[in-house]
Amino acid sequence: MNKVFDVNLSVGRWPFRRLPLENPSRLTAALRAAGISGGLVRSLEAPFSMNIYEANDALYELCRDHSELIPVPAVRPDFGLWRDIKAPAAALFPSYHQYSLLDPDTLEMVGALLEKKILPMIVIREEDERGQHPLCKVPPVPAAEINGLAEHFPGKPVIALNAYAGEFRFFTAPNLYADLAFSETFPALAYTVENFGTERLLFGSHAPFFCLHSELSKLDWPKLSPEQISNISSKNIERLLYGK
Amino acid sequence: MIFDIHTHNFKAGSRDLYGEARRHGIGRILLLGDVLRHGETPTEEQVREINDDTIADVRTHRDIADGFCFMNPALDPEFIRSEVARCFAEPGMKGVKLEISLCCRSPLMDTLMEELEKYQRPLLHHCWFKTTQKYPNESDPTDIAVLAKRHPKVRIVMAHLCGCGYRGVEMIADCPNVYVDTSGGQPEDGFLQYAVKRIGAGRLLYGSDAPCRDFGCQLNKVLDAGLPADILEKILWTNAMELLK
Repeated sequence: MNKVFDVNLSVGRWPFRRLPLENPSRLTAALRAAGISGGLVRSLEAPFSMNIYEANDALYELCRDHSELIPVPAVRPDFGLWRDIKAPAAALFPSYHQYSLLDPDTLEMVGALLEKKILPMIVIREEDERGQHPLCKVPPVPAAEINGLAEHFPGKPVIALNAYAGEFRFFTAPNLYADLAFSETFPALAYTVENFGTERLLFGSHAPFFCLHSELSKLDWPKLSPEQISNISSKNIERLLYGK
Repeated sequence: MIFDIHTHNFKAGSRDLYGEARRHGIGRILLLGDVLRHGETPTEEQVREINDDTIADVRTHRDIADGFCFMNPALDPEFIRSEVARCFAEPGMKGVKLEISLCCRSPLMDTLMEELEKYQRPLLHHCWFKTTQKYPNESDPTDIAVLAKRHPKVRIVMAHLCGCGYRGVEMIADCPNVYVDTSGGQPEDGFLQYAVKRIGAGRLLYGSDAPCRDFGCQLNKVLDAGLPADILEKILWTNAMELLK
């Protein structure tokens, strides 16, 4: 069986409903049962928290006893903590925190992260917009803006999370990577693989919002070669994180 | 055994619906038609064309597929009666599918509902609680509840559990003639477990919405919900067989 590493996990408390695997103990047990070795984990509170320092502290605390969960702190250009963080990746929530990826302050922040080999992970959305709380309509981050950010830093990796299959056609920058969590056509990865390939595609489940086995099932498609499955499952992200 | 109660036989651009179903161990699928081929409010001729295709597909794939007649309930009552009769005369055509032609609170629904009661056939109705992107005549669970209470002898499948959400389940909880299918949107965790607790497994049916969605992804949403085997069997097979017999 392929090693599977999940780039799109969250823990904590989502403001609008409880999620079955929001607790890190339950999440890690489910990951193990599903054959997923671990993953990059962000905070469920960070998108709406008025104080992302608190959200990040809570994230590290929740992950402390779970070595397979690698905390991904939230950053935003108007909070100075991005200058000091030490992590393999950082989560950006431009729509929730209301800034553009192409603002000069954002470009300065992302440039500094990349200099320190911290992967910027752009969260396009956390939910299907149709199901959001009616008083809390958060638009998705425009796919073209993410591509523009990646083009601004040629050769440096940028990761987009939670793109719909149709948004992949905007991801033309060769240094832009994306996960498969929201990508579901028929078969699930058909459109994405045909239009984006597999060299920059990453396995991300978006648990605890989404079901782990639903996301894993996307890899069970006869048109994917064992090498392609291996790249999506873990090799692509390992190259970004560890250079191997 | 697995029965997928929500699939669409699109005329153009669809990959191998039947082969994919088999690959995922799905024994039977219900074809609901190419319901938006002619937009939100199809004419009589367009409805007939969509149904002709479903009838042909059911005939060709009788080993795996049943079908539903598609209808625009705002059309002339005489047409509704004759088209429903035409479809139900075909083996394997088991009920009626409605999309977004008319909000189902409308009294214009009554002709169709009376036909369904007469034939004792179920209705499967598109449904969603939407914050954005709502179609003008799209029905939500409050509309389904109104329809169900006005026609308590007709069994109604409210489509798209994950689009209707917790509140959607609440809206139809006291309507024993309303079932819910598990399709709709992303494979979100938590809604199915909630629905089982709130309305019981006897009113839940597995549906994928393929090829708008992927069989494996939507099926694993059910299999991954931590439900006991007897409840899974109801949702995946028994309830559909009883509804469509």
